[in-house]
Amino acid sequence: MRVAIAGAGLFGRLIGWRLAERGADVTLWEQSPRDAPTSAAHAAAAMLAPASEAPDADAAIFHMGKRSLALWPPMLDALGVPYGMDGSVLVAHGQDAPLLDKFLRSLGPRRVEEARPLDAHGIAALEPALAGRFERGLHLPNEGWLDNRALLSALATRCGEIRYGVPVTPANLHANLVIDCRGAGAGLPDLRGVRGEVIRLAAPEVQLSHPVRLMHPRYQLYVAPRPGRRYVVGATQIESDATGAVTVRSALELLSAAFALHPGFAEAEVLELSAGLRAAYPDNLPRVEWRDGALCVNGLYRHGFLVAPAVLAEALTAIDGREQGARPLPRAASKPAPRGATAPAEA
Amino acid sequence: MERDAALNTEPAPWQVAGETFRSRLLLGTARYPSPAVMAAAVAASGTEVLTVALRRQAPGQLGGGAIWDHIAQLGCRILPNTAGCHTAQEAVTLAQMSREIFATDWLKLEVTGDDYNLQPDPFELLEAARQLTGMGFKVFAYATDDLVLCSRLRDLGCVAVMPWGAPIGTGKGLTDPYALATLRARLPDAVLVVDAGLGLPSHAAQVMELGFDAVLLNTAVARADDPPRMAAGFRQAVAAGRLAFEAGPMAISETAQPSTPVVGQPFWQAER
Repeated sequence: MRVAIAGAGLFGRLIGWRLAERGADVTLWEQSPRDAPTSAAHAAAAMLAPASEAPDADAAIFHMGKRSLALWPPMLDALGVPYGMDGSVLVAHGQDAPLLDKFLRSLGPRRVEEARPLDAHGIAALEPALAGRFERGLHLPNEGWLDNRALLSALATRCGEIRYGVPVTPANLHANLVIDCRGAGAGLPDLRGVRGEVIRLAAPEVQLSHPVRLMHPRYQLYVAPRPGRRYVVGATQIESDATGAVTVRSALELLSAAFALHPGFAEAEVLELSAGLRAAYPDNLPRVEWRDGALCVNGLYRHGFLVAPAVLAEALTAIDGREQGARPLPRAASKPAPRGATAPAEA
Repeated sequence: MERDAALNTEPAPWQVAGETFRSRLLLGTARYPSPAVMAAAVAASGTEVLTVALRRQAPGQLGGGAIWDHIAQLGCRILPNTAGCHTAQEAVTLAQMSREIFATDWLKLEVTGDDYNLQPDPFELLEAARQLTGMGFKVFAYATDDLVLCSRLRDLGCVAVMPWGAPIGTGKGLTDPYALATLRARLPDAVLVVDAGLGLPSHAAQVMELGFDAVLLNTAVARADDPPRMAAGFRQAVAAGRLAFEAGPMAISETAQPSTPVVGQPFWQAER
C-alpha cells in the first residue's frame, strides 16, 4: 500500500512509523526545510500532564491523556527516547497559594488519585533543588515528560521517506491512502493557530528531575527537564498565528519564571528561543475525520504529546475500518463536531 | 396590568457613545478554556459589548485574525483594548491599529503602571486620553477609583470612565465601596462602569445598586469552573442590582426596631 502524508510533525511521523511497520510504502511531505523545522512538535516542551491540564481542558483530553500515558513507554523504549514518568511538581509563591486551592477544586473527585499536597518538607524531599523556596505545592504522581526532539529524530529514520521543503495539499497527493496532518498550516475552516514560545536552557547548577509548574495568576509556566541538565521553559499562549521570533516580553516572562523557581538559572546558557503554532479547533479538541478522501488529523492544540498515542489509535481504527470496508466511508462533518465528539469510548 | 408588570421587571436601557444597550454587562474575551466555551459564556451573559485585546497578537501582521473573526461572529459591539501598553505613546499607536483592524473608533484605554497587579498609570493614562479624544476616539478609560483622576478623564471627553472595583483578576470584589459611591455622587452625569476586580455576581449587584451604569468583567467568568453558568449568574445579578437602584432602596435603620407595635405589648414597655 502506498501512503502519502502531508506534514512531518509529530503526528505525521508517528502514523508513518506505524504504517511503515505494517509494510506500507510511506512518503511524508514537509513544507519546512530539514534544517529549519517549524512544527509545533519541534518547539514543544512535551509535558505529559493530564492532571495539570485538566482544569483548562475538556474532560476528553484528560481521558485521552491518561490512556496515552500507558501507551507511551513501550513506544519510547522501542525508539530509545529519553522520558520520565515519575510525576510532576506544582508550586506557588505565598501570594498565589489560592490558585493551588482553585486547582485542586477544579480537579474535583480526581484529586484523590491525581494530586498529593506538599508542604515545604515534601517539596524538598521530591525536588531537593527547590528546598526552602516554596511553602506549598502539589505532587501530581501520574504525569511525565518525554524528549520531543529525540523522538522526532528517532521517528525520522523509521516513518518512511520525508521530503523536506515541499509544501503540499492532500489534493496534490496520489496514493492508496492520503493523510493530512499539516497542523496550523492546513488552513482548514475553523482551525486557528495558537502561538506558543519556549526557551531552552543549559543549567549545570540546577538539578530538577520532574517537570515543575509554577502557579501564576495569568500565565502557565513550567520547566521540563531534558537529559544533561538541560531544560525547556514554557510556554506562552497567545491567540495569534504570527510566526515571528520570540518577543522580549515573552522571553522576560519565561526567564523570570525560571529564575523565580531557582536562582541557579541565572547563570544558565540560553540555547534557543523558539516559537511555534499549535493548531486548534474552536473547542480545542483534536479531530480525526475523512475530508475529501483524505484522513485529516488536526487540532491537537497544546496537547499534542499528551494525547498523540490515543489519537493515533483512533486514526488507525479509522484506516482499518475503511480498508475492511466494514462501514461506509465517513465524510467530514459539515459543521463542527459536538464537544467531546472525539473522546474515547470510556470517557 | 400583567403587561405593565412584565415591562417593569426589565432594567432601563443605557446609552454610551450615542448608542443604546439593554445589557449592562460588558465581557472580556481572554482566558477562556476554548473559543467554544467563550461563545457559550457570551450567549449566557446576554452581553452586547465585548472587549478584545490585541497588543500581544502581533497586530501589525494581523496575527490574531482567527480569534478576532470568531469574536466578531458573536454579534456584539467590539471594544478593542490597549491591555499590555505601558506608555501613552504605545497606547496611541495600538489604538490607531485597532481602529483599522476592527473598523471602530471605540477604544478601551488601558495603560499599565504596575505589572504585578496591572494597576493603571494615571499620568500616562491622562496623556493618552487627551491625545486619543483629540483624534476622535470614543475612549472608555480604565482607571483606579481616584476621584480627581476620574474627573479629569471625564473632562477630557472620555465617553465612559471605568474605575476598578479591585485590581484586575483578583476577584476580591469592591475593596473601597466608599470611593465608588463618592464617584457616582460627584460625577452624576458621567457614564461610569466598574471594570475589574469582581469575582462573584453579588459584587456586580453591589456595583449596580450604587448606581453605576454598567459592569465590565472577564476573569470572574473565564476562570470559573463553568464559565457559561457563571455568566448567567452575573447576567441576573447585574439586572437585579440595577433594578434595586431604579426602584430606590428603603432607608436603612440604625437600630433594630419592630416595624409594627408588638401585639399585646404596651408601648411604654417597648421603650424600656
